[in-house]
Amino acid sequence: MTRDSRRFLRPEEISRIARLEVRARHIVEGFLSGLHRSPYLGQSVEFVQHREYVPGDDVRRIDWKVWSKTDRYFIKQYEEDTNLRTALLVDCSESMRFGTGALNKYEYACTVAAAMSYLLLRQQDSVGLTVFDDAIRGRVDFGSRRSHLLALLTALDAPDPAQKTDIYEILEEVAATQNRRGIVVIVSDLFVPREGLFRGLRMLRRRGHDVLIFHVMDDEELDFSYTGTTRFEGLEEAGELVCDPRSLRDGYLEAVEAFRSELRKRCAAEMVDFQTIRTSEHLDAALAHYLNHRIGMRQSIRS
Amino acid sequence: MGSWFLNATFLGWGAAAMVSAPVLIHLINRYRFQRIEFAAMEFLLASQQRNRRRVLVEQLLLLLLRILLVMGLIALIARMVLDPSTLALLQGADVHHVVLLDDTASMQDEWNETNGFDEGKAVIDGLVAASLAEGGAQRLTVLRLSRVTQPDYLEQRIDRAFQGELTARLESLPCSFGTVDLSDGLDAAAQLLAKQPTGVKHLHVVSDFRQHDWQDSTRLVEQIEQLDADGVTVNLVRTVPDRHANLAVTELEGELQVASAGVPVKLTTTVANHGEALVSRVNLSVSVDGERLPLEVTVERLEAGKTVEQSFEVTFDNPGKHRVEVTLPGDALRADNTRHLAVEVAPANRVLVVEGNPSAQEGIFPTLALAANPQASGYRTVVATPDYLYRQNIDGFQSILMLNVAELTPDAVESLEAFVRDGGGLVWYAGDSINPASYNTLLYAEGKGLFPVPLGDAPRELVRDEVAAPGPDLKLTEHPMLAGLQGQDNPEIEATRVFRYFPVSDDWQKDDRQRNDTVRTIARLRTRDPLLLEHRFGRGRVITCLTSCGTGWTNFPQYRSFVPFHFELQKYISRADRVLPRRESGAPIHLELDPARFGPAIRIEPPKNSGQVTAELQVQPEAVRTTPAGGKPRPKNGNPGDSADDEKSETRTGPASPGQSDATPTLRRVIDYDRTDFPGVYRVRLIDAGEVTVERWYAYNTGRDEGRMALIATGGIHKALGPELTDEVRIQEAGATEWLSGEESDRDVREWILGLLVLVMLAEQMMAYRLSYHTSAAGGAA
Repeated sequence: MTRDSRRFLRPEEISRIARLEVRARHIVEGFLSGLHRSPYLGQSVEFVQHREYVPGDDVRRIDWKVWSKTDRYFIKQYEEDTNLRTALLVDCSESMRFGTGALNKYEYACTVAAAMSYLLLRQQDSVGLTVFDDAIRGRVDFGSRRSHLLALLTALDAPDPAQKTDIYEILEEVAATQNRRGIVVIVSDLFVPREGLFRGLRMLRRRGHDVLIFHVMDDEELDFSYTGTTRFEGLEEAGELVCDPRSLRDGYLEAVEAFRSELRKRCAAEMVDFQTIRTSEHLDAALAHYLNHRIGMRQSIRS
Repeated sequence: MGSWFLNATFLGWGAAAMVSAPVLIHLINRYRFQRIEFAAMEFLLASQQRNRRRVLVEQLLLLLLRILLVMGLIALIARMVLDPSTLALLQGADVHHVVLLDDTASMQDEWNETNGFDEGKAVIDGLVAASLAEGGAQRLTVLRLSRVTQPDYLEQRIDRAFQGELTARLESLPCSFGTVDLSDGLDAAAQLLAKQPTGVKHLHVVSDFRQHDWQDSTRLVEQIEQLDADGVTVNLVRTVPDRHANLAVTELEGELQVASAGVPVKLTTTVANHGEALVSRVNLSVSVDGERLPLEVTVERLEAGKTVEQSFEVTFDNPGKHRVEVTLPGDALRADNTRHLAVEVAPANRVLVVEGNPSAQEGIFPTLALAANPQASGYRTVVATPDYLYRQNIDGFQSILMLNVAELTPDAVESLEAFVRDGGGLVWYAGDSINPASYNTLLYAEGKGLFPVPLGDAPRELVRDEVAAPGPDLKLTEHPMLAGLQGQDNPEIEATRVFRYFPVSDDWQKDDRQRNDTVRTIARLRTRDPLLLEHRFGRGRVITCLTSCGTGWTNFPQYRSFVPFHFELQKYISRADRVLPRRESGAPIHLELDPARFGPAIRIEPPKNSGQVTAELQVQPEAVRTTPAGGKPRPKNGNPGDSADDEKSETRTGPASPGQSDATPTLRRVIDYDRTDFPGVYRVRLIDAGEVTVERWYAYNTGRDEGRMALIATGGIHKALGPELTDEVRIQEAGATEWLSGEESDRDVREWILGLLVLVMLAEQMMAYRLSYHTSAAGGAA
């Protein structure tokens, strides 16, 4: 692990998240019998139910004991465990370089991605990574070995950022390279054209992926507590403005709230988990909040 | 423009540079910004797009506030003088100055060849001149306190022509000698100003502001509060700078009801020292009918704030009407140095003595007491039987003594009641002949008649018992009539014996305090039975003695005290309605004359030195509703000692019981003469049906309180007004003229500007905070 790579996964962060447990909301298919339940019923140790035999079923799975008692053919069905395949998408565009605290948004996003990778790899789930701005800047294929973490962290060291274009193309490309269903985790400030974003999310959902969005925002972007005459110079060529921030604060906060509200609503409509994270928040708190939320959701979906 | 600033030199380029400074600072601030690279520009630009107009307006407002701040400072430094009238001029409204000029007698207070009233006139002159200099639509109303219902000028437009006319008019404007409450003037001014709904209203109260005017200031303060609430600027302008020494003759009275020709009349004058120092050996001169008497009345010593009474005797040689004046040496206020008195001197005071038992010859006792020497005593008695009461006209008698009269016929009772009701005096003496039943029925009449008490069935002996009830027979109370008898432990009173008396009925409450009537016991026997009682009937007084006048039942006639007792008795009960009226200056003469008794020609002669002309009037009858006999309220400025109302004798058309009213319209010649301001004696001459001239005299004097020279301090006025009005009401010191040229209002404008500056600064800070000119920790982090 290089010095630069280590900065996204510091020992204190690891100790904070070590106790966390990642569980997928949906049962996804997987190779390993891990902690994640599979939607496929097959050979396993955990019996689920009997079903009447239909032509085509494997005759090896007929329960002869039941036949001896009822004179009818029933087959036994078991629940299979599988491993989790998680694709992490980290935004490294120019707007993510903004930050007023200890970490800028990109650094914070990388920390989120690193922490999740660590967790997932520790339970032998498969993790892939895509770093993007206007195009895919770095990619790490899925892997479940512990040593895979170094490759992930190295990829997070993105080159010079550029402004984002249509995120749909990015998502489409990610979907194309991931033929198995799994979790897609997007870590971004989402300062992208909204229609492309939602089209991409819809596409991922249709392909059976479970999508999580960590919406990373800086405190000043959410609170806008600037004072004094200020010239705001937009990142990603968003223009510039000389103004008295306090006089525009209310309007700005309304616009931000409208943006987040729209994200929340449309993500909910697409069954996409959406979580806004402040860069000033502790990472464990954000992840714990999110994961607890997901564990709660799993029970309702299974029943 | 320069006239709006007292320090105009400051104005000019310097002021322009100061005003432009906020604009420059504002613009410079716009270029002194911090730079921040920001990601969420999309939302910031959206907010800016949406709030562009509001932000622009707020920026301009902030700039305006800062300019106002600087302009306010400039106005303060340059001492802006922008009084409300100038503001009104800018608004296009007119300014109405109402001047309430105090012309009561105290304004004649003189010093350094000027006086308070002249100073007041100078204030009006100055006010008009200042108004002219100021320009704009300004109007003036001048009210003199003595005649607030007749303004000298009413909403007169102020211009050059008016200024000339006013100056000439003010020169001839006299100061009155009367007393008028300042509240009356404020009432009139408030009513006048209330008719003006818009515009700027100033009330200038020009007065000497004496201490006693503000002693009970509740009403004054309420009026000023109301004026202030109505938007009237109240300006109290003082005209007298200091308190000056002053002596005043505040009273001149005497035993006028028994004044008769050739007999000395005791007069008493009261002198007050209204100054702040002791005075000694002050000589008063006394004049009768304009001729000074060779008589010197000297006040030896009079301390500050004290009064002293001096008595002297004047003998009028001839019957008829006479003028008496008492005059002090000159001082700061001459108006109260002379007191006038009109005296009706009778040829003799006639007393009717009615004997119930002529054979007893009791009438000889009062006759000897009063009229042993008619020329010396001034009394003449007529001794008669009860028939005289209704057979003869008894109006000419001062009083009637009823001695042991058994009973009276209804005609006699009616005549006697009319006599007493009109002011005549009546004395009852008891005796053997009295019929108690008749007295109780006809004369006591359940407490409504001429006799004060119900009598017992029969006379009673007063048994002397030195053991059980020692001491004198008589127990006198404090009473003016008996004052002369009680002096120096009069042994004759101690020695007086009452052998027999008529007791009052047993069921009559003898304790005066427990009865609800006008009867007062003024002497008792040692048995506590009443002996001498007094009560009023109409305007007359009735004295009742429950023992005899002669020596039959008492030995009192044997003593010398019997004589002065009867003189005092006569002074006390003699009809006072013929005492000529004494009034304070300004009170009108009101007459309602019976056209059957008096002709239309009426002549009113003012005092000779008043400068007024004699009024010759031809008065035609008119229908009036007459007032209850004796029930007309006394004129406000009338003397409490007056008993002769103007119209009393004319409005009475017949006998009437007390309180009876006559609301039937009757024809009367009505005279209202109000030019009675100058002190002195006013003579009203009437021609009666027999073509005989009848004269009525009225003595007018300066108000008693006008000589009280103590001035209320400005702090005292502030204290009376209270903290809320102190800031609203302006008080100008005597001789101050700065307020006329706006200097005074400058103070108010300065306060206004200071207040405005504070408000503007607060608003500017709020706006600046809103517009991000205040950095904070959050901003610092950015």
